[in-house]
Amino acid sequence: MAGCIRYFAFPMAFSPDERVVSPQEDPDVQLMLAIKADDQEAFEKLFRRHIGRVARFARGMVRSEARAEEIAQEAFAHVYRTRHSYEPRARFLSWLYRIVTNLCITELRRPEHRVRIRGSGSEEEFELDSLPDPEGGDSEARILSMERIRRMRNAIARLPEQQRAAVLLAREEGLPYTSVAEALGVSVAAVKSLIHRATLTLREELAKIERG
Amino acid sequence: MFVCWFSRRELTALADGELSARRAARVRAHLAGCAQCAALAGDLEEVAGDWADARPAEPALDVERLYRGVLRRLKDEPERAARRWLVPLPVAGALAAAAVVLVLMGRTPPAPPPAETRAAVAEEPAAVPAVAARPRKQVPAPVVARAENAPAPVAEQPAGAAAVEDPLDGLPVEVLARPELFHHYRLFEKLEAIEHFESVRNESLDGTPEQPQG
Repeated sequence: MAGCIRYFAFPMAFSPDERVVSPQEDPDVQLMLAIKADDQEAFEKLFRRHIGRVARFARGMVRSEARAEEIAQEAFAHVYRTRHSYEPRARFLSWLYRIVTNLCITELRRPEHRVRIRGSGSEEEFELDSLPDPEGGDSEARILSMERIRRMRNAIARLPEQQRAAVLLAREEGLPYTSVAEALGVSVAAVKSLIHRATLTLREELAKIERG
Repeated sequence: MFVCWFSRRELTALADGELSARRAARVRAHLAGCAQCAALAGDLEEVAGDWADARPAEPALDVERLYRGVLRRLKDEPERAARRWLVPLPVAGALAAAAVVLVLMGRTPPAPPPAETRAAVAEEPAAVPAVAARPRKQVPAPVVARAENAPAPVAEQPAGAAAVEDPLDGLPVEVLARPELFHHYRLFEKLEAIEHFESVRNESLDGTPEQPQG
């Protein structure tokens, strides 16, 4: 009964499987527990292990290399600062992405960020050089494929922030929906809905290319 | 049997392999009998496939520099914490100033000097030429001045009845005629009174205006 009341009163905060993640289950948790005991080397190891993916996710969110690096640094600084209150209740990556997502959303809502985006005319266009080169195929097919990817990345950049975060975490970072839900602080059903809507939007964008 | 609207919500999760085996089987059974949903499922799977191509590589980062940056942030943290405590100080100062102003406004202005004293002061401007020379701001001495303009019944009220204040007491005719335009009239009166005290404070004891320093 109390659980039901809590669920309906605070559906976002409700976590039905609040549990302790063991270090065997998640090696990052082991590192994090060492950091909690003020092990600086463990922190450096954790940093080197995850800085790349954190910076990539932040870049996808805020569309700026420099800001993404700052956000990644701030996220790890936050991890270290709050180490003493860390409790392994979720996968470490979910927790880390939650910190990064919150920092990114804060950045996206800053008036300066909006001015920068508006000032540049539109969102930052992804250059073809920065995209992965699909292997094989003749040059025409390759260019078409690259154009398709470019359009897709720009469409991702235009998605609402929650949809963008969900879709980047699930598709690019390879997190399961449950971890995405933990990272965004929403239910799995909400994640499913966010990703579905984002995918429909992208499908429309790609259909536009095919229509010419 | 799933209906289309329900099945469609599950198609992206199916493409991502996020449905339980039982639910995935039910969605697939629906797709087998529904051409529209099957077409949509094909499209969504294609988008999910494109994603693998569009996935950017991890950016080439200067990890050493970034790590040093994190350590610097952590080192600066105590300073930041100290600054966090300093931030409320100006706010507290502003609040204190506001409280002083409110207290001043809440106090009734001191009673004007007796009529004979004022008359005496008015009669000897030549004795203090500096005052006359200085273009002093005309201070209306609000309460007294307004009383002269007030309508007769109010003006004739006996002094003993001052304890029971009439809200319309001392208001000019213009204000009484259009009260909706002068909601904050009393407040402005008080502000004028404060301004008056300021100008009095700036005068030296003998009534001459203080000379500016330097």
